[in-house]
Amino acid sequence: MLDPILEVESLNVSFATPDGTVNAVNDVSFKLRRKRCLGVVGESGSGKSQTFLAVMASLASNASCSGKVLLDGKNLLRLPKAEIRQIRGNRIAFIMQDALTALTPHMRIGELLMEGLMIHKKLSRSEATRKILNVLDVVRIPDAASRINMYPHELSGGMRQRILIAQALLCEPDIIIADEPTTALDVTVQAQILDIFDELKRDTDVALVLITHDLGVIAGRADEVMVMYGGRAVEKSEMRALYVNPLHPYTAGLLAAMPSFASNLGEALPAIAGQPPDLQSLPKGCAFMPRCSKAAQICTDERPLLKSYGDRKAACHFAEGS
Amino acid sequence: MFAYCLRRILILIPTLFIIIALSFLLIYSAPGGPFDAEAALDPQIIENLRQTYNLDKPLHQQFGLYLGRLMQGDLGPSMIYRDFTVNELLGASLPISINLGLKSLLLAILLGCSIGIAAALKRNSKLDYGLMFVSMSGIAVPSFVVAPLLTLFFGIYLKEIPGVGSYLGLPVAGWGGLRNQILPIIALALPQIAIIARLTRASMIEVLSSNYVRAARMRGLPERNVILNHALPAALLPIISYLGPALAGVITGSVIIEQIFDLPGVGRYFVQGAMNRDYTLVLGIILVFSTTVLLLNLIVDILYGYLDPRVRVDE
Repeated sequence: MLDPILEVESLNVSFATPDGTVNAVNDVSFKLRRKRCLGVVGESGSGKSQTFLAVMASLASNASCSGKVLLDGKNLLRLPKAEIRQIRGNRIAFIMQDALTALTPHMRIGELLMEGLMIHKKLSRSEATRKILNVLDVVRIPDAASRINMYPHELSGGMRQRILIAQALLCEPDIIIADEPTTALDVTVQAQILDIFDELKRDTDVALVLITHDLGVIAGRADEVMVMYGGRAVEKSEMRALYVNPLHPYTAGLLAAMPSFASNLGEALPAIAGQPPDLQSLPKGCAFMPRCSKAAQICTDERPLLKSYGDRKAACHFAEGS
Repeated sequence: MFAYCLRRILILIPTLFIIIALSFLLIYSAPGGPFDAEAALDPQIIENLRQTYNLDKPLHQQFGLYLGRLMQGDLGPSMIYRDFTVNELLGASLPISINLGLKSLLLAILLGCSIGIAAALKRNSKLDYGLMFVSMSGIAVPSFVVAPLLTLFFGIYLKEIPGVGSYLGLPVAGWGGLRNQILPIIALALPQIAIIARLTRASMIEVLSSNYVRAARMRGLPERNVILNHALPAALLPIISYLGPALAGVITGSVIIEQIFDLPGVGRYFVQGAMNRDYTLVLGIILVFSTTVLLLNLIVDILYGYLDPRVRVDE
């Protein structure tokens, strides 16, 4: 297996709010490798986006973080702003949630794609244009030469998502992080966008991260999956094993909640009862305990640590390796 | 775009007609008339005067006659300054008011936007609070308070200081070179600077927290780039649409400022015309003012479309 390109070690992120401290990310560690795709799954507020905003050193101003994010042996969390800027968009590209608002409305598509190349790669306008047309072909934008003169609002949601992906690809980064890349799109467009990610994995050396709340998005696409709950990684596993035999009851609940053609129509989908945990006052024990079917006394008293079960890891007192 | 502009210009005609009709009705229905002040006049002379100015005819007929002359670009004779036509009076005074108004608007835009941007970039700092305190006072204190204070300071106190006075002391009245203009321009611009600064700050803060500005930062663009290319054009949109009302503010503000600094501009004629029931003069000034405001709003709308491609029509 290739050496990791990015290592995150015991990352913590907290936000100071008027109501107290919110612990959004707690002791999260993982590694990214070239040509591999990491799927990060969790519900809203599970800390999945904040984890990767921390990797980009792009947290909100009231955030504080500790731990290490190592790229080429340098800790990105301690890097001066000017050096971070040379990494953002250039070495690590982040595809933001909500493609509809992530493109500056008063700038033409061409300008929006051009600026990164001119700043990071010092290309001339004509070189940059050639490169842009190539990349727009990769993300399957028809009639690219005329699209670059359009404004974002003149494109459909799927097209805008493609533009964002193109924007991420332009500087040929080592890592691409896509935060909910398909959430706002309809199902057929979703499939087309995900195909682009599959091609990227096949044709380039990029390390890919797909952040999603939808296990369907990473099925058959991710190599490893990290399931997050209450700001912690509760299960880390190779993808197929996770689908076949989830170790953590939360993962099992997510899998059970996925609609399938086999399920009877008219029958309610199984759901995980209860509410996500309050990140301001996480319990002493397991954060998932109140919603868990296996909960016992030990779950209230003691927080389960992330333990290894063969190649896999899970944080549950009742996890059993296979 | 051309069809859109043409349509907007054609709409000006009925709008202006309604403005003229309403103003005509209002000023003619105000008690008194242009010749009331001259109480000692013989009734026969007043009657002759009324005949000369068509005031003896029924109102609808007078309106018709007025419109007829208006079509030929004639705003009629002044009823008080009897040796002059309204065209002549406006011709002499309008350039002064436009000169004053445009200069103070320019000053207000330059200073207001810079202050607003600085405050937004250093949000919640001492600089921000200081600038916003000053601009809040700028809005709260009316120009007829600021103008005499400026006069007192620059025109009287500074003039007393030997050596410095001849440079910094400024004339407090009259119309002449640039030195005469400084105080009225500042007095007229101050409230607009304050309003524009607050508007710019608010819209800049909103834009800076928008998704696309965050996205631009996440692409590793230098901060200067993010602000100039991504944030500023969007943040200035509300300022552009405020320029119409701002010009109106500068024009109405000049009515007071011109009195205080004794400037021979339109504003002074407007006040005196209204007091003396100089029907044609007041109507003429209303017509000129409203045309200016309407045209400026049109220009602002076109400019708006240029800056924000989403509102562009008919492409």
